[in-house]
Amino acid sequence: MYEQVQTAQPPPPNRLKFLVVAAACLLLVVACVAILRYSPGFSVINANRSASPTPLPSPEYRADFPEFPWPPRASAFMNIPSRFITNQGGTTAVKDVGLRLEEVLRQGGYGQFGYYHIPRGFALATRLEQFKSDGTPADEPDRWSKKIFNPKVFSLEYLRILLKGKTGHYRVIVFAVTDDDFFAQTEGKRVDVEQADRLAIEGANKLPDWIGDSPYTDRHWCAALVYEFEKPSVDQPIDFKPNSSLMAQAHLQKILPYLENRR
Amino acid sequence: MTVTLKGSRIMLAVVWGIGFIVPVAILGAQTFLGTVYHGQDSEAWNWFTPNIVPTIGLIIATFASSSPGRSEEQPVSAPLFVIALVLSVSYAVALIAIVALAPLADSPPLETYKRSSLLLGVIQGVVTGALGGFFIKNAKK
Repeated sequence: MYEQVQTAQPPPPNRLKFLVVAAACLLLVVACVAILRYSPGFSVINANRSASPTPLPSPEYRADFPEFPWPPRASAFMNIPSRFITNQGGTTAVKDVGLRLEEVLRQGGYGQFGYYHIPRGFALATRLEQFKSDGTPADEPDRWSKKIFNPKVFSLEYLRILLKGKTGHYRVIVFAVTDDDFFAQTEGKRVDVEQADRLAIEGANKLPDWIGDSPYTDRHWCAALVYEFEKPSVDQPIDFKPNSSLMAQAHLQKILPYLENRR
Repeated sequence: MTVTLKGSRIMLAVVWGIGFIVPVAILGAQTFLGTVYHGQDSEAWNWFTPNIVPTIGLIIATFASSSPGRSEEQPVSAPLFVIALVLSVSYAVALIAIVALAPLADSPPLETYKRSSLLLGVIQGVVTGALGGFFIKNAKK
């Protein structure tokens, strides 16, 4: 009888303490999760948040848009008429011009190019390519190689090499689009062959919006700059050629027909 | 096959004439234009001269000399002639090929010439020996 009275008593104080502590811990965990969930600086939880409006480029991003050596000091250049690169009806944004130039370059066999920033505009640089003495690109895959290509024996190019020696000719074509007044090459910045070789791969893949979305106005112009390099013989280095032996039109002969003939 | 002494001389002279004229024409044009050897044209000629002049001299000498009591229409030793002709053609082709293809090599032409001298020297020794043997044997007949 005495023992039955003992078992009917309320739970001991230790169990109550345990329940209180457990509830407090649970509250603490909930509070922590809530704090982390709405904390703007915690990326792991914020990574899966729903899409917010596209942020404007930060100043750091603008600084990362690579700069092209400007003013230029090219071996040859020519101005591209605006009618070849602007939309035929309605307004044209600067990015439309970039896309149009990309399309034309692809048609000309240039698969890789990089965007650069120039004052009040952009530059679009192609990959360093080897070309023949008449300005046409060397046959693939020699076109993209710095090793001087060997022509077919008994061809005209072979005859030229036989009598005048083996020389390598290389170039990078850069389209500059800007509404700056003009450029003069008097104090222009040269590009060496190592730098030219990296232009296409180290440039941006597209125009940032802060340049691309601006309208292409009557003040804008587009110029094609040709940076030519020459390797005088197989055992000599490749050097910049300050004045091309060909006109810019000859360098652009694979591109100009596509620029002039719009679909 | 029967080849007369006169015919054999003419055939060998034609082969060596081509082997001489073609490289001289190429080297001459290269020297005239002056862009292949970058001022070292004399080195190209220094390589070429000892590779052809001794044998050309031998051919000219056999033309100039006449065998007393020996008809130009008499047949010559066919095996010796064939050996001399084949070796001569091989040497002429090798010489022309080296001069014509050196500008296409990935090393400067003068380096290609120097490397080829090793092979040409061996062939030239054999060719000159064969030619000498051929002409001496037919002169004695």
